[in-house]
Amino acid sequence: MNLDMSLFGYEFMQRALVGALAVGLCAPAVGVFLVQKRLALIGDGLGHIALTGVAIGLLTSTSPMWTTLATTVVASVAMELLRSHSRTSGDVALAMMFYGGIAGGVYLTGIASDKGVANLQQYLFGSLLTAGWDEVLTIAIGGAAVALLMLALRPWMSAVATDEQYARVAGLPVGGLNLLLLMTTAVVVSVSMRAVGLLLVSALLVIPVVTAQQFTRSFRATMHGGMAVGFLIAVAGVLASAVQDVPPGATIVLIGVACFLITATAAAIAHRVRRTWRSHPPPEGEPLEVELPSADPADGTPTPPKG
Amino acid sequence: MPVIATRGATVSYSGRAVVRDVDLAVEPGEAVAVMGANGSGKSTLVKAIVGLVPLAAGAIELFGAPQRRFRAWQRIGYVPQRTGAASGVPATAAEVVAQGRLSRRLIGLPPRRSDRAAVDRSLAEVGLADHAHCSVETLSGGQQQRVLIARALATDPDVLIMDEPTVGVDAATQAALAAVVADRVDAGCAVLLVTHELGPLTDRLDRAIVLADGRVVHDGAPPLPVGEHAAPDHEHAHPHPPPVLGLGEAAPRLTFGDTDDADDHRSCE
Repeated sequence: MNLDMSLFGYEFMQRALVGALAVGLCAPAVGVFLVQKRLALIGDGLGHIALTGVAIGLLTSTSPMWTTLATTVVASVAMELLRSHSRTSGDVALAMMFYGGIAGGVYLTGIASDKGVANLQQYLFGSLLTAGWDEVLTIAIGGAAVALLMLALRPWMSAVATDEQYARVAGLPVGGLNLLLLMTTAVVVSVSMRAVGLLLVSALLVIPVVTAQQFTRSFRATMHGGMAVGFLIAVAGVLASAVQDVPPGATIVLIGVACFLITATAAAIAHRVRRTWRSHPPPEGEPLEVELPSADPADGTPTPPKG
Repeated sequence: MPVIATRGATVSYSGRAVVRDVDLAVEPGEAVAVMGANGSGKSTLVKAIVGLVPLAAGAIELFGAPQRRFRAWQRIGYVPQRTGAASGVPATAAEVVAQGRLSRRLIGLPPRRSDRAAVDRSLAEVGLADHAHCSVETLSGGQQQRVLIARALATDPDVLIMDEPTVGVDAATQAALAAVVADRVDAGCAVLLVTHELGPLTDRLDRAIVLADGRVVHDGAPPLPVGEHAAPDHEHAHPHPPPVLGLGEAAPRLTFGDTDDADDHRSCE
């Protein structure tokens, strides 16, 4: 790919880059908690629901971004209530969202068929290059708000995502934080549908995080690394798609998947090499964990694992 | 005023009573064990005390306040039963221990110096100061358990509530943990410990409560280890023959039932 810097002279390219930058930065900031909660597919579920929101927008001739935002926020609240107050598992709630959302979208678009089904395409697969300044501004403001909120609340959100029962006993507002996580996910989905499209939005929530965590040991580094990776693949995707004239969403996601495969392979190799060479803690095997508080691991009688 | 008080506490799961009519009181500075076979309701009782499981009947008071209105959660250090599942995103030992300070921090604000100091101190107390920046996933089972205990200690609690802290932990680590907990008891911290075996951690007990089928069958002196099982005032019944001492288990185990919660003993990678 030969990068032609004159691309940046075009205003549509500047807009696309600003939009991609915002989405790439903010999506992993939310996604890291979803990955931690093993809700990696929830973005996809909300993406399906968002389809209904887009259809409502087309039907009522209002801006689809706002109807999508409203629909996904309502859906995320409903889903959290369903999850926490009934016996329905998160899995079943997610399945209902997938099917109900996509059916609602197709049904409503069918009603609004005279208003351009082709229009739906750009929300399904993303069309950042055709976004206007006002749309890009919405993306940037929404993204920045979400990212800042998540950065400030990281210890609390990660405590709830890691061990909800402990968080409850620690007196944290678990219900509120869970709801906040789903609502910010809804905001990210609505905001980034312009960039990567509804069907691919889940990818930007998840891929940067799982790519970064190949090399990180801490939650903090994973979050910051994920945001950096998301930023890079989003910008790279926009540039590549402009050069080759293909949809940016698919390009961003493919670059992300490639990054993940490369880093996962590299991490596996690095891991193996380190295992052979390592001499620092944590040590191989099970040292005798006796000497407290001096914590001297020198006395290395191995303790047999308990059956 | 007792730290923990339950009156007629009853918990049912879908109509079946798991904990029946339990009266329990833990005074300040007192170390109490809740013992019993698996399925005797001991973990459920403790989950009810910390509010994770609703009561079907009865009442629970924490520090004199009805549990529903209790808000001073920073006075409680809770060590949940360790689950074997690895978490999705890596976290360092220091990050996990820092969760113990969240109940004392204002939401959204960065940690104060006292928060960082408490995290460092707690990690050092359990002997993991060198592992503060290691990913928890790479630690062994015993080390992970110590991280969870350090998290509870970091809260600077007035009562430590520990749910099976010795499952999957070798005898030597148990002895080390016992020393840490004994220090806190000496400093005036109350302890409520759920366990199904006697070990170093139970040496320092003031009292033990034995549950069978959800009811209190013994409330008084801690039961003696299997070796001295013939003591005349020993009340609880053994459904199984005394276990043979296993390799590497320095302390005799008091077994109330099958230990189905055998833990994976992950080694560092």
